[in-house]
Amino acid sequence: MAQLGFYINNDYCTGCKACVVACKDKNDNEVGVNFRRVYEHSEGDYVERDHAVIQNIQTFFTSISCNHCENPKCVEGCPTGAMYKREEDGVVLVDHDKCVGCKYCVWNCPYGAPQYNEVLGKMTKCDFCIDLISAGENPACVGSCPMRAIEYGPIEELRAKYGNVSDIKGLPNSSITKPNLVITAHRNAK
Amino acid sequence: MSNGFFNELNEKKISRRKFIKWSGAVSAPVVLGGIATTGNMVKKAGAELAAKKADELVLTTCSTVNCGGRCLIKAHINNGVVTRLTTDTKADTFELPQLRACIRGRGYRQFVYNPDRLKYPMKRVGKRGEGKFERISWEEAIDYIAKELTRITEKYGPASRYSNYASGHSGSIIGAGNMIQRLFGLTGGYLGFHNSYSSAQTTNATPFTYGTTQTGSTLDNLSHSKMIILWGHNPVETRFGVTDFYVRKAKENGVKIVVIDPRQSDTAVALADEWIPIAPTTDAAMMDAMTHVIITENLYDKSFVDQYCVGFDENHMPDGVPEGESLKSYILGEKDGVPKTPEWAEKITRVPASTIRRLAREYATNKPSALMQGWGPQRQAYGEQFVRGGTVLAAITGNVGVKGGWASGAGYISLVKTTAVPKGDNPVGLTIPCFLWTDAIVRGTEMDAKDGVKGLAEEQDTLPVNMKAMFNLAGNTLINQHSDCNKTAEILSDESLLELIVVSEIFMTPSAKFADILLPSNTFMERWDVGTTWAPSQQAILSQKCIENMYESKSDYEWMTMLAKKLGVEQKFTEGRDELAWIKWSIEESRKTDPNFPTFEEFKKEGIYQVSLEGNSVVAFEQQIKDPKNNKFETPSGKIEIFSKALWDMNDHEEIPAIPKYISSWEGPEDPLTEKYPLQLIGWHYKRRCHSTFDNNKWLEEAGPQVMWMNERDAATRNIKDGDRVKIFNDRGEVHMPVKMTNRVIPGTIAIPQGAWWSPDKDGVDQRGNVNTLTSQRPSPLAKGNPQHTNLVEVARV
Amino acid sequence: MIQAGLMGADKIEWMNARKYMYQLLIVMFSTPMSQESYSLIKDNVQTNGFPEEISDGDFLKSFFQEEESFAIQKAREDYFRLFVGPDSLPCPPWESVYRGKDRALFDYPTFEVRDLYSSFGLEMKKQEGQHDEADDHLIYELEFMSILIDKVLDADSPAEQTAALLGQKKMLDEHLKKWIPDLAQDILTNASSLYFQGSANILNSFIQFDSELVNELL
Repeated sequence: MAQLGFYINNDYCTGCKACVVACKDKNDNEVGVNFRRVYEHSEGDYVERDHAVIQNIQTFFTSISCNHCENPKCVEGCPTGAMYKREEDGVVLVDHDKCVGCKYCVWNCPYGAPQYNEVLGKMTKCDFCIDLISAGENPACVGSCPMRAIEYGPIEELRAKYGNVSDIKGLPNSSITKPNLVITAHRNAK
Repeated sequence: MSNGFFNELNEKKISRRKFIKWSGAVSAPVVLGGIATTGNMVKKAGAELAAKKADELVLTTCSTVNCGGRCLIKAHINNGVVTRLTTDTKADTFELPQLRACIRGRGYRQFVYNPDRLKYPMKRVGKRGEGKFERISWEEAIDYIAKELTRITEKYGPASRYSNYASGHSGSIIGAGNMIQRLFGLTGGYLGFHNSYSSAQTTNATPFTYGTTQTGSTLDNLSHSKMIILWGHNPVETRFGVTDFYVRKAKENGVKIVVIDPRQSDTAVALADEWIPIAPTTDAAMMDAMTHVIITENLYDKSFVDQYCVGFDENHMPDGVPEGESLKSYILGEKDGVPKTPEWAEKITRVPASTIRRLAREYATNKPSALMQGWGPQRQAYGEQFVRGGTVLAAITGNVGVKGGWASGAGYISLVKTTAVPKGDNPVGLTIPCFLWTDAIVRGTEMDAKDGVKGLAEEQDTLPVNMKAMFNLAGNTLINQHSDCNKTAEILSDESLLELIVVSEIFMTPSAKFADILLPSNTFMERWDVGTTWAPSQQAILSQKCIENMYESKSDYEWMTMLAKKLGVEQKFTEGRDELAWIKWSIEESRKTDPNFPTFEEFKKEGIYQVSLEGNSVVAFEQQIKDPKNNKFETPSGKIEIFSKALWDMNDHEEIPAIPKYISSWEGPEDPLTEKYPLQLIGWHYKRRCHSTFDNNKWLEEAGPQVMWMNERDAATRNIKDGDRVKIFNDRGEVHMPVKMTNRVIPGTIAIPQGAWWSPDKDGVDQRGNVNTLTSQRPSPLAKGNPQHTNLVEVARV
Repeated sequence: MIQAGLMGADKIEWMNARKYMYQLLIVMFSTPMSQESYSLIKDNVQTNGFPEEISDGDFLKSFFQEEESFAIQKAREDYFRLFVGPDSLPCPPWESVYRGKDRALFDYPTFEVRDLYSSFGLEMKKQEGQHDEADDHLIYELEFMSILIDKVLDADSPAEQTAALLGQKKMLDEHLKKWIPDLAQDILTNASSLYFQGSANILNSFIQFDSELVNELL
């Protein structure tokens, strides 16, 4: 199986966070632990002319989880080898038998993907819902998006379909980790 | 073993001394009457040890909270427990889109299995509103209610009994509010209500233009529009579901989308090409100015106006109205000397005249276009004018009755109709506007037709009696969602006014705190129902009972059946049916008018009845426009009434004009009170709550914390920083909450997401962020609707 | 190892003492305080009969020195506030709330204890159409312990005795011991009556002690 990746159509993201909560529901994550997160980015100001107000406010939302990167910094920097990239589909996983919860990966990941679980004392993260995929279902976030703005699949297919953009305003430069992520940027995110 | 257990213990770690201490603490069986140690657990039936896990059962269910989306929820049930939720996974097509669960639907397990649920019937022991309760049995609760209800009815008459507007259980065929009215009706009657807190102004005003509130088309129409104006419409947070889907499809098709809103709503961010910020309560001024541009630049659809409309100009006026009262005359300022130009409107609305001009031209010249009104802007002091203004813009541009156009106004449409259990007759026959229930408590016997009382007999000027018995079932309008919490609390706390308050609830809400008798309701997963959604509705969902009633909770129908029995009307009330039997009855009734409506067995299998838009696309008023001879509008004139003679005859031309007009609002930007309270305050429906439902859900609080939006400019002048806790206050109350500093709200206006649970401290200062601490009980003139977004306040650091 | 049918009087006495303790805890946590339960506890519980480590605060002793009707009222109010509602519960008495991932009911501990009950032929009493209580409510877990102590006492064979003790060990080590310390801490933080501060101490200490004991016996 080829390397898996996510496609995010940022242009239609309403910031509703259904993906965040669907992911929490699937993984039973407590408050504070979010394998998928949605960020709001807003900038700009108004011009006030007499009574009138002219806006130049640019806002967009970004939904992001683990990008199961080509060069996963979390794997590279893991002192125990707990964090690994699986051969068959490139999904990045944590081996809890090896993880000591040192949080080094949190520092190394520019996307904030690894999420520390206080109860387990271990690192946790998006596992691409490999259990659902193998059962023929969509990952929780993909199936949940009311705007149909999240897709997944072999990254080469996604790139062929949607292009190569994985750099938008607010995200770290893709050259750092080579994320398996394709984004259609919101007009304000370009 | 003969040397004894004690020695054995001695040899081991546990010291003899410690053991003796423990064994000496309790010297005899501690068994309380009824609470034996074997009281709760029984031998398993069937003597089958370690029963095998049953196969997972997947049932569809549907949250009948007051939600605009109504998604499909599949509950995965293992051994009687819902362990996981999934949603619609069928093929996703334009005509038959998936009904995917939104953020709220995703959190339902936290709702049903929340340890904070109300578990047992409770009786108030402290002062009313103080929140002190003790557990009682269902029998005691029903006895008490029956006795008090009978006493109050004998003393004050049946018109003193009221079931409050409550939407926590809605889109339902066996809703709590309806069912208690059925029971009241069988035992002498009650004071009823009309209107809603959602849409009073639009449901009252829209028919004065079109004769009906059914002005909505199916949403596939939007893909045929050239432009869509979402005026105060934020479907991304309020509706979810198919509305978002079809607006997205329109955007994909290249339709230009403009959002007019004081806030850059999530809809504006994700779906709009342009966001036009506007000062709250001034929408009608911008509409007037757009009309001015359209008239003066000759952009209106002359033949449409001539053929289908009344009141556009002096040549198309009804009889008996003096000159100078037509729309054109008003817009051009022929009588008052004030032409409603974009420059005039700019001063009021803060929208640049050039923007108004451009939008008017674009809307009038790009036909068909859809001006869709949200319900937010009609919840203001003169919200009726916003509603009628929108309908008039649609009419004069000829966007009514055409594919890709939109008639504006209330926008109701329903492709799927369900049959509710009948409420039956009300022998009292009186209704009040639901927003005026607090008035009916303190001055009911003064309330007359001018207050919107309906059903008064000829010799009857006012309500016969003040309200005395209140049933607040599945709702938070008893305080949280009503205006002016402090004033409401004062009225409720006075035990000489309302003599009985019965509340049924799932959680200890601010409303539940005021109960005399507090009944634990089950949730939608524990009962049968059929759920439908707000407009535009394409679906009905079978809400199946997935799990058994938790704790001692019951459905409202279950306890009302007990009450009916106590009151001697059980047979009439139930007609021999339990909840499931009513569901089956309802399905059969619906099948009589819609043969495609599934049978119970089919419904159970599919879980949903969703109508494909293929071949079912509807355009509101299409027949009236195509074939006007045979299809009249349901107005008195049979035409679209830009000028309404019926409104004219009400003879309150300043507050209830016969054509839509901008009326400068009390507590609007032109009110002198701005000197004391310079900021306008609005609420909005927050994606993380359904009105006030789910406010106590931790997952959703994480996703959408309760924060007040304030512009950087307004914050800077008050030395307020992002995240600061601030006080927001006016003469009605004070709220303390954190600030989100964002330019996504127009300068001069702040916004608090509505529905947070009112949490007053000992000084009455709300610590959670309930916008209604600051809103007014003054109703709108025509509809007597709630003016929730009409407030002036000041903000300061705490 | 306890022998079949040959349990000495002292051992019977000890099993009974444990059972009384569980019964006491059930009374304490299953019902709001009434005149009857007040007298029952006052008459049958030696407040200075507890080990030192929990007598330090002497909450229970002080409680019975308070004026009676005041004390009962206070304990009643506390009971409703802590465990019943109608307000948000500071100490929800379900294992799932403490051990599940998001403080909700019906998480995995519910199923685990349900299986444990079932392996001894037990299930929860239910009314038609009602799910009165989740299986991992504190009272059910304590009641299970009490029933299994009876099973030790009534056992016909050493195997049965051992099985019943193993069941107790499982409940103690895999359940009660894992969440009672947190529950007790919440009760101590939130209780305003001496009664529940005392009860929380007794509950927590006794569960720890009983777990040690049962492990010794096996």
